[in-house]
Amino acid sequence: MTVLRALVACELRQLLRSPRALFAAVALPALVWPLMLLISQFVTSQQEERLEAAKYLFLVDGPSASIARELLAAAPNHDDFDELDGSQRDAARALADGEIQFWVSSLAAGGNEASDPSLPLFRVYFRADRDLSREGSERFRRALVESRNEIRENLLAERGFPTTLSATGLIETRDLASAAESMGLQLGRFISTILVSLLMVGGSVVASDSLAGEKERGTLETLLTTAVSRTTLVGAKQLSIFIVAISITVVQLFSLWLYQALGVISLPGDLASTLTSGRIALLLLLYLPVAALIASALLLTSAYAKSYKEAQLFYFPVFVLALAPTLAAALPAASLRSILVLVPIANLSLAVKEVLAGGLDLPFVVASWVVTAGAATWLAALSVRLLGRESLITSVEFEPEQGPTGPNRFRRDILRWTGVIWAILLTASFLMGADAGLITQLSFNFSVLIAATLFLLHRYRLGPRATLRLRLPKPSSWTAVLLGAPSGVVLAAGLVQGTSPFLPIPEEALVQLQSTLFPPDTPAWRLFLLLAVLPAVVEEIFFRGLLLSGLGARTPAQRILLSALLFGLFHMSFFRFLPTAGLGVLLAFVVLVSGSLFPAVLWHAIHNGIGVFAAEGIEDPSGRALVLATLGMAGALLLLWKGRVREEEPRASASSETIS
Amino acid sequence: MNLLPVQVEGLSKAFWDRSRGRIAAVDEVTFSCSGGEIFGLLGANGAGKTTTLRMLSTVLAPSSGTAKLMGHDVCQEPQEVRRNLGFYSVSTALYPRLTARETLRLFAVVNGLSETRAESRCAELIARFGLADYADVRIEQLSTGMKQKVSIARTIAHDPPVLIFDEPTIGLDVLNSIELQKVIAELRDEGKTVVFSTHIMSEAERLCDRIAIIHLGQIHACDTLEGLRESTGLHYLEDIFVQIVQGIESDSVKAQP
Repeated sequence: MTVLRALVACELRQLLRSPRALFAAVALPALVWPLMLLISQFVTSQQEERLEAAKYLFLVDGPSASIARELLAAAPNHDDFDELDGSQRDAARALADGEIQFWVSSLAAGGNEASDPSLPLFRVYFRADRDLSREGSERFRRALVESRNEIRENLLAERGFPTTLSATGLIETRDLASAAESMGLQLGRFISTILVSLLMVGGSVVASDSLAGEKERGTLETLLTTAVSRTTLVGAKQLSIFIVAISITVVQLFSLWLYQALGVISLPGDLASTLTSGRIALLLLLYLPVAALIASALLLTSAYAKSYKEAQLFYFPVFVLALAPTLAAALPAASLRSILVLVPIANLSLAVKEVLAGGLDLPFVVASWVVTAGAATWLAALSVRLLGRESLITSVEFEPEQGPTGPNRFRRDILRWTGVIWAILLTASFLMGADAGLITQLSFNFSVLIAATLFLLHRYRLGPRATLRLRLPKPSSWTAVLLGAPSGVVLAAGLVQGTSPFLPIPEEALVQLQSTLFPPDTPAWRLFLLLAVLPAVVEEIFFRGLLLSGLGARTPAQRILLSALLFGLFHMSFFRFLPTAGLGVLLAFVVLVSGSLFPAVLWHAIHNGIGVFAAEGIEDPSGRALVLATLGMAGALLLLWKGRVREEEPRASASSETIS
Repeated sequence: MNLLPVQVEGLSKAFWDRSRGRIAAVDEVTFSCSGGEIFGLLGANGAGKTTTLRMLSTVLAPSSGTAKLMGHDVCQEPQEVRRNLGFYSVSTALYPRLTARETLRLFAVVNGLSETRAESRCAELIARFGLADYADVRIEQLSTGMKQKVSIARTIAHDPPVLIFDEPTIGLDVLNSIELQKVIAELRDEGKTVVFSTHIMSEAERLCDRIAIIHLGQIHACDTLEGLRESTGLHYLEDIFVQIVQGIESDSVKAQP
């Protein structure tokens, strides 16, 4: 603790003694921000004044020109417009040259292609790339419509048809949200983007100096030869960045508030009623993991960069990466109750928006908090690992045992590749949407997984047989699968039944699942192929074949849990996460114990097959069915365990295959 | 039991190079040092001196072999090793915006001294190195000689039993370098174990109690200066060094078919 404090104090002291950094990080933004707001307010008001004060020049031609003039004359704001003498001019050229703001081409009744050819048509030509033209033509259009309505009403009244709006009915809208709530929604859409950029700018001031700068100056080697542990070192750096990022953000927000209090700038009036002190405290709590994640990301970038300059070069993509998820809050339909709850920063941006608009979906807000905080911890752990890397100090890469290929290198890189594949599939699922159709979605996902498997096998020169465990199991494994797979489905149904009071699955999630899974006219053999056989083959090859091998350096329990977690995440649905991860645990166990991929393929196919064709039959299983299923599962696991195969050293077998 | 402060056995470090494949930077190096001794690693640039010393300081992990400092293994207990170690090289820099006093206090605390102990140790070092007038000036404003003094004081801030000086005199003028050698000799006389690397013969001659000649990652001779003179029949260290190194190179030429 003393060491951590000493390191953080050292870091902050150095920052405070660097007047240039302080000026750039604190003073400059504090001046520039309000100045920008002030200028934009000034520009907007100038613009409005100019549009207000302007006299719009126009031309009118065609057979019904006189009707247009009459209509305009009847409008209350006819003084805003001045018609030029059009006899000598080409209207199109006059508009192009900017002499007029718009021109009206009138067509006689019967001589036009409008929806009702019995009426004259007035077509207003304008240019949307000029403010005055756009504004003038719009005002002109409204003036004409208004006076046309008035003339029509007067005419009807004269003929004895008293027709006013009150005779046809009034239309009124009432907003039931309080001013604070609707203001909250507005604010929630963009506040995260602003705060994340402030945190980024604030944090990067220390971060680039922190590890990249120290590397360059040589102080990192000094620190690394002291008794400080790498974890304490990263903790201290992270804490420093965190503190500075938050301080600078608070200073900027305070300066904004100060300028507003002094009347230099004006913020929307309902802001104060939205931001009660309780809300502010809650928001601070929600933003803590975001700030921690940003600190981790900046530190990691700094640790990765070889020099100060390189660190600053890397910040831009990191900025974009951190800002992009905040845009989730600006999406009109995005909700926290979706896969977005698993995307760090995006989930808390949504949570903040919902809190500001007056809602608090506690379990999901907590989940978001945990996910983002977890991501921050993970990145910090990566920084610790990076500090252990020897290339930090020396320019050569010390990796005698590991060339760029081979199983060891593959094990080191597998999680990174899995992350890339996950991101590809997530992006694709967002782009395709729910209406892309079952076959498109499935075939895309399967192609990606198969292509990824082939690519990685080739890239790391891995032997497919050993890596994917494509060998025959003991015969008892098949019996175990036939016993275990149906029992598993029944047990899962029982679990869903048992937990549904605690974790209610919203109706729409279920409906969505059904409708995407069953297009009404799909024949049964096709469903079986697409939903049972193909997923079983493809997903087993990737998750229980490639991924499980890649995690080989870990203990069996870690391998099973991690591969199951990733399997769950790949299903891109919050409500399917637990069931799929549970299935993942079983299947990974089956593969590790039987030493073969094939029993898991069969298990997976039976599981999905029952889910597709006999789902109704196993819903709400009876007590007796549950007991039988438990016995069946226990028997299957026992059978597998008794026939377990010793894990053979994949390194040796893989390299021998490479040579052949 | 008489524990040797530094014990190195069969220590190797290989690295991977894209074009050349596996390269042994340090190859089966074995030596040990006792308390109150200056042990010199003498070798040309690229001989493996720095790599060896970085493995001793736990910054690099050995590919094979073991190294122990005060009985602590560099792989098993890296933190204990570093607690017993002061590491000085031209590349271990100081924080320019801290003062000498803040620097010494920071490194004392970071190496495990309590805050009160750090305070008194800091005062001791300031007195010892004559830093009193400059103790509260930022390091960026100090002269090279003063910076060097602060840097040495930083190395021994936590009073470690083992000190490593990796080519400490590179870039120093004669006076500063003699000053530094004086300090190193003083530290030896206080009973510290000093591991010292250099490629300057006169330094090794004047300072080291025992000298190991390292070339292409291997130690080819390890003895006192007198012992080296006897075994080679030459007087000057420079001649001894050249003879040994050339012997290795002609051997390796002969060895090739």
